[in-house]
Amino acid sequence: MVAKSAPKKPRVGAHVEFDMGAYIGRGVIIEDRGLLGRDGERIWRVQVDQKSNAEVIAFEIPQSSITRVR
Amino acid sequence: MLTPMPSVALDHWFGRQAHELDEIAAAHASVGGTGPGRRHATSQINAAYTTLLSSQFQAFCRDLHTEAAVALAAGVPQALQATIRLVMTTGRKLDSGNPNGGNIGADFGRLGVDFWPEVESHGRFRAAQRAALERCMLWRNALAHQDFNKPELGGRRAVLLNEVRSWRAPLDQLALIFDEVIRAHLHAALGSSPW
Repeated sequence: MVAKSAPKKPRVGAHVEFDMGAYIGRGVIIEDRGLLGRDGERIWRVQVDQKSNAEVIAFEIPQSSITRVR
Repeated sequence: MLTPMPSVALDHWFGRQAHELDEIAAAHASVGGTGPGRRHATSQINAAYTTLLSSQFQAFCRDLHTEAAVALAAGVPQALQATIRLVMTTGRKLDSGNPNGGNIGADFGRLGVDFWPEVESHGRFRAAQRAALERCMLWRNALAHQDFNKPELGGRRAVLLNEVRSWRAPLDQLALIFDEVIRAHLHAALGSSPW
């Protein structure tokens, strides 16, 4: 029997997924913005994965809205 | 001084950020001697103090913007929250630019608030507060880029300690007003105060 490991915590450099409503977005955490969310939730700045020639898009998102994938 | 329940950003501004600014002010006082060597050393400290004051105020504005954007996004249906966050926080001028009046107004304007008119109609606003902010930005840019050609600098290449000190109280007042303006805007939009 293989024990399930706990989900990895987000950190700068981690790859994450997030719900964009119509699709699942993916990106990389580029900054820890601190405990600026509601009830002191941690906020991360995430750079969205895009085609290489696209404009860089980064935005801020609460920790509860992202899932670390690697 | 603080409002009963300030934003996290305002709490940081009057707490750890003020402490860091006080430390560099204390460094100026600790430089010994009376000759040209001391003048050069204190001049460099004044330059660092100016740059730090600008960057700390930028951090305050950016943090307040983040808190407000997160609160506003939480007030819309789940499926739209990420899109709202993206619209409000991507390409923000305060992520890379100085906290001059234009950048501050542009970023907070994206939250749906007519920012400077709201600030300027606040009972504690004084024109001298915004003038101090712009003077601090003028010197910060001159020092960072070693460009002292702007006529407003009066031909000087060094900022004085008293000048930097004189900007702090107006920036404290602006921080308090920004916090209150944004809290009132969020209360009107969401029906409750996020802080």
